[in-house]
Amino acid sequence: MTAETLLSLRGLTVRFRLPHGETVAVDGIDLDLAAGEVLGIVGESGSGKSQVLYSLMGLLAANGRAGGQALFEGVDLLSLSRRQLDTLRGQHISMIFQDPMTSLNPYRRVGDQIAEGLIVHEGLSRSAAQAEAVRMLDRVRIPDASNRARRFPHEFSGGMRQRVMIAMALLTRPKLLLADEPTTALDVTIQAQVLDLMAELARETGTAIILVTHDLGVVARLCGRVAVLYGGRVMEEAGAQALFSTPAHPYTRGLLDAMPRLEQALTPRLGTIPGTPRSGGGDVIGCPFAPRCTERIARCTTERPAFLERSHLGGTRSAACHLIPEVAE
Amino acid sequence: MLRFVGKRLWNGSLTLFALVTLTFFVMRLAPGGPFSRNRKISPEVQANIEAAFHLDEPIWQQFGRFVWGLLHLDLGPSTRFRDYSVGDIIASGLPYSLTIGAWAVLLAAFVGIALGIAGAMRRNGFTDYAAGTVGVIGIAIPIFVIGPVLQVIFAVKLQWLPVGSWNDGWRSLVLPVVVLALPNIAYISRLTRASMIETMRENYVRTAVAKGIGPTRTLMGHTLEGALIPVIAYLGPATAAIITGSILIETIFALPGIGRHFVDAALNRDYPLVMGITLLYGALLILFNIVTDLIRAWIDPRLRNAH
Amino acid sequence: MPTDADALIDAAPIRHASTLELQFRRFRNHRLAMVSVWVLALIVLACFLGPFLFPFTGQDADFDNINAQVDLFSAHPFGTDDFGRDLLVRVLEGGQVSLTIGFLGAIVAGVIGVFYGAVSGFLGGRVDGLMMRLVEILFGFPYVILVILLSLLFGGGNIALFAAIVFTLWLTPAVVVRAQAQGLARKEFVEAARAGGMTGRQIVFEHIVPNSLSVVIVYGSLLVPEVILSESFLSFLGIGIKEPQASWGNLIQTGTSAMATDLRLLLLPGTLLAIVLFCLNFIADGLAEAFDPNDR
Repeated sequence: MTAETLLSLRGLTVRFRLPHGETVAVDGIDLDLAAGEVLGIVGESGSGKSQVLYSLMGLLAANGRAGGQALFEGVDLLSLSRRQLDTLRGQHISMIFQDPMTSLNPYRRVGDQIAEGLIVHEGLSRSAAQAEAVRMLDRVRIPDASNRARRFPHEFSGGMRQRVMIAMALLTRPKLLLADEPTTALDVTIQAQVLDLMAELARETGTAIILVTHDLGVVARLCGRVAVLYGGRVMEEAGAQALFSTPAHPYTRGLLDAMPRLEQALTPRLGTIPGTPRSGGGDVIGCPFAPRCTERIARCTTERPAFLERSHLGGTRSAACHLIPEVAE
Repeated sequence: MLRFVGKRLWNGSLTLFALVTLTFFVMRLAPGGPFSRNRKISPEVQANIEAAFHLDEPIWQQFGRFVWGLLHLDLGPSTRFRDYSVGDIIASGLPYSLTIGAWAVLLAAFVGIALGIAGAMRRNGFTDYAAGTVGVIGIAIPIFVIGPVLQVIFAVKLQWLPVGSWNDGWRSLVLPVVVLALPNIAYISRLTRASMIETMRENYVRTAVAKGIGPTRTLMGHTLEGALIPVIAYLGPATAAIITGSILIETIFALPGIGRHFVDAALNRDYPLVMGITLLYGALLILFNIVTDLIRAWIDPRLRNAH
Repeated sequence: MPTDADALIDAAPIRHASTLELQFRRFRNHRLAMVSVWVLALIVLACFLGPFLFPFTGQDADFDNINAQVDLFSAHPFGTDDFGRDLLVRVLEGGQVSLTIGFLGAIVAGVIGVFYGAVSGFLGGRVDGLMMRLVEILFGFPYVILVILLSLLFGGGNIALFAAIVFTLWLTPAVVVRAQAQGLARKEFVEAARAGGMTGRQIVFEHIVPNSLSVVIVYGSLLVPEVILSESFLSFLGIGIKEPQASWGNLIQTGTSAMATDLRLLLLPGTLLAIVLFCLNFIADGLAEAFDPNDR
């Protein structure tokens, strides 16, 4: 852990109690995030990527439990009481959710909702917080901000609501922004616009971002580093450049093959990963991707591959696969 | 907003007119009449009395006379208490019914909502089970069973409170109000609990939690508004029903409200009095429904624009 | 010749039957509801068969034993009233009336409501508007007034009471089923049925009604206690079932007038009525939970 490390996950797990046994959503994740860095977490639906964020914010469903460590500036978020957590979340850690249509309170004015965090966390008066909220709405390019702040969410479009969410999240200049598929629910034409705005504002405030998405294009645009999740584990983690140019893990390669590229004609056809994505279920002995992996060897189903640094493959890079040699050959 | 209220009032008066029309013909078509039970009077005298009340006219003419009177806010004298007009009788009984009804609504709303919130916040905790038990009792035991039982316990055995009637100040109010409120406490607490639990699953409540504003602010500023909308929707008609529901309470506790008058009037075919009380109840129901809609629109901006 | 549409039409009811089965299995796991079913069954049996165990009916006066007190080993285990009529037998006979009216009333009100709602929701448009306007007007009537007036109109007596209660209680199921039918009318398998040439009436009977069943069962189960409560409420006020015929409502009414001296006349019918209403509410809860897994 270096001096500038902001967040450090060590063996993070998320388990859910169900009527018939337990399901493991996140299965021992190690990740580090430096201040101001943008980290992408990619994976298919059910890979546990959103649950990582929820566990950090204390937002897991009632039957969910987080284990391991999540050190934010040296403080373990998972061991904090609700009250202690409330001094961090909304102020130093903010979150943007997937569905802007339902994430704003329909009964309260947009300006009030944005200002609320300032009133609670920084002790601002109502009018001062309101003025800040209007300024922030202006910065996320809501036209006629002072007027708009007095409106209700149903009078905003989806893209505008997500920009309101961004304003709300960045208002307190947090050190960490957790974004859970922030543009999935939006119109394709405005997705890039909203993402660029988010990244730009975060850069200005020096906010680090964890961006959870299943869109590799988004990751390539915004993220310095990428972690690829499958079955609740990190398969591979590397600088974005290195990951896209020289994917090491068979699953990463599968993901990239399934992505269309401009420079390639669509012959040969886009690749697909055989089988269906793993989601939930109990503990796995070997590699969770083994059942679908075309390069599987016997060890894959019997022994869990360790998540190790493999710097000999270029850049800082870690991966969990028996097929990748641990040192240069 | 004014147009909305005006439209509702107009629709309401149409419903009210349908109600009194139906009541009028049902009463006349029902076997028996106001004076048919009285065997002591001779047929000539009975004919004279009926003529005095215009009961000898064809039914359409009677209806016309009734509507004409209605437009002048004059419902005529009661056929049973011949010295009193319908207006007098209602004016003397209404204060009792309204007092009991209003206190019962307040008690039911306050206790019911508090129990519902407490149950939802600490699901499966002690409060939740206690509230659930009160709810089941309130819903399952009818007030004409629980009323007399409480009378026996608190009035006959313990002698803390009067059995009935209205001679003992606030002490006369306690039992009727509690008994009338009980089933509504049950409904309101169940409704509040279910609605709270649903609202707590809403994404915008999750946003509020993520803002780190603390549990109290999250509840008061975010969860409660949404959760109370169905409760308010229930409270409007329930208030009207509580006031009309005092028929039973007034019977059990021998109170001089209008509810008991209505039952007696219906049984004795006191046409004018039945019409008057029907009109009153119908108007109350419509009024409370409009008030409910206004409160809902005040809370929910989406409804405000729709009107 | 079988087409794809036919296959879809055949598939829908089969899929439905299996979910219904699943829901009843869930219901059987609801312990309180299952206990309630058994208790209720026991009370129903006692009410309908119990009186045969006694050599007299509830209307036979035993002038040697007027106002007899509780003596479980005498001819009158729970004593007699002030006409010398056996209280237990009267309460059981009253139960026959109350339970019959309760279940029959709920079924009739439910059936009327379901078809009214299904037709209204399926047809939509102007017919739907008109049909719902009528429901709205009836909803605008204070319930107490409507039920009292109707029972007067039908001339008093059991049938009048029954008709009045049914007439006031079919509205809620109608509204609920209409909402359900509106949703279903847009579903793919109904579209397929329409494309496959089924008539509107066939669609209502074979798709809309069966697929609204779970909602109907949940709301229908709430109707039963409501009907029983209405019956005893009216009888308590002296409008419903009248002496000498017994019903729980008028027995309780008799009990309240003597409660200062003799509680047993109030408590026996009151307790039985309360137990039945408890059971019916628990069963309704159990059904609601079994049929709506979101509402845990």
